[in-house]
Amino acid sequence: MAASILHLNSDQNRETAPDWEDLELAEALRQGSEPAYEKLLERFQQPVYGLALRLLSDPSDACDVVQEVFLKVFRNIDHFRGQSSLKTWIYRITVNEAHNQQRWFFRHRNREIGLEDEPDDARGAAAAFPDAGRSPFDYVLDQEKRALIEEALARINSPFREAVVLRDIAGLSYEEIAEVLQISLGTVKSRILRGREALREKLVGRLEPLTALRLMPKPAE
Amino acid sequence: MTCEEVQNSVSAFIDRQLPGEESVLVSLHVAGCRRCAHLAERHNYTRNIVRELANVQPPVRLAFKLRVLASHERRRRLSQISFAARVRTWSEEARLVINNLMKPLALPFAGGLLSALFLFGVLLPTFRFERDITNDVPTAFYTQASVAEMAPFGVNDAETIVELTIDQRGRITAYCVPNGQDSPQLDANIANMMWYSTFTPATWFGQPTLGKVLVSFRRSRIIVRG
Repeated sequence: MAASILHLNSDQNRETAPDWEDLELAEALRQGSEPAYEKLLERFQQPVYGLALRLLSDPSDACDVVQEVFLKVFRNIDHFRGQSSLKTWIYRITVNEAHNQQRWFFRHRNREIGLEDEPDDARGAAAAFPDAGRSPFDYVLDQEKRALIEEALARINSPFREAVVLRDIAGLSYEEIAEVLQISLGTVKSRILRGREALREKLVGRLEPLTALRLMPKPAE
Repeated sequence: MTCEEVQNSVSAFIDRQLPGEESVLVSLHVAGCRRCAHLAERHNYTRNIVRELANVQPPVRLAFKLRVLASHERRRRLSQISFAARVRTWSEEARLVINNLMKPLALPFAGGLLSALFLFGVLLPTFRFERDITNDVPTAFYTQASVAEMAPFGVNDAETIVELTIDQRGRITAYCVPNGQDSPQLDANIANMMWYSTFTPATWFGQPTLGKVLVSFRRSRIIVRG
């Protein structure tokens, strides 16, 4: 059992120290290099949005936070001294901005109603083409499963959710999470453990470990 | 290692975040403990389903906004590198503002100008400029007073020259006889002549002014010299 679990884990411990690529990218950003700006967006746009979305559970709020994060990164890149990796630096800004957004939400927007029927999650023309590899049933099943997980994730306490999201969605190591959240390594372990426990409790009876759906042939009556 | 210790470390264990020795101990315990193995399996399942949420793409609109933001910030940063870069940025911004202001006006302005020139060229031959030059006011520096209409009678003397002073209204204000042949009869004749004669006043830049007229009476004719 333990061996099978270990085989599922492909993550390795990561160092939080910046690599040369981060330092070069930061220096290029300071010099106003256009490819550096492109590269930064290409590298961090998706993970920062994913992190913000899972921390806030609202696509429009996540979009606002992502813009604020990149604005701060662009304007404060001079303050990046390379004492941590660029990723943890940006993720720390993201977590702080998500906190600010949540505070602002509870103060001002908890009674607002959005005008948009659906979040803008358009992927362009390519999203309109059918996926030849998956059936509509699989698609709906995945959508419902994702909705259940998102709902459960949004219902657990914020500190636990942050730790779980940074670990399982952002893919940070425990040391990096400790650096992003400015907490000790033991607290990180505790929060991830309790976050996963809380998440599992929310999903009990609603989402169990998948069993294969088998369609048994039956003779025609 | 006890079950409680394993349960506290199970998340870190499945994340391979435990130190080597502790990881080995937990692994050995999990291999021999059905309950802890089940717990590890549940944590692993929970971790995997959360990982499925990781693959979320940002909206296209957000990606566009981020590119615009990056472009603005890069331009702002470049403008702060040196004074020359700042001046160049200001000039480019001023040029952009002028272009944005002028471009909407350029086509209407050019069209209006060309239309006005075309219409003026077409309509110019139809214009008529008429000027009545019969009663034109002389605008020379000075024009002398003159006799508009002379009395139908003269004087009886053989030849007499009279100098008349004409005011702005064309009236005689004074007269004198240069030849010195003044007489009561001549004065009466001159008075009759003044009474029935009309004069045009002298002008200075078109405005009536005082002037003198020399009138020479002969037996058969009258000669007037301004």
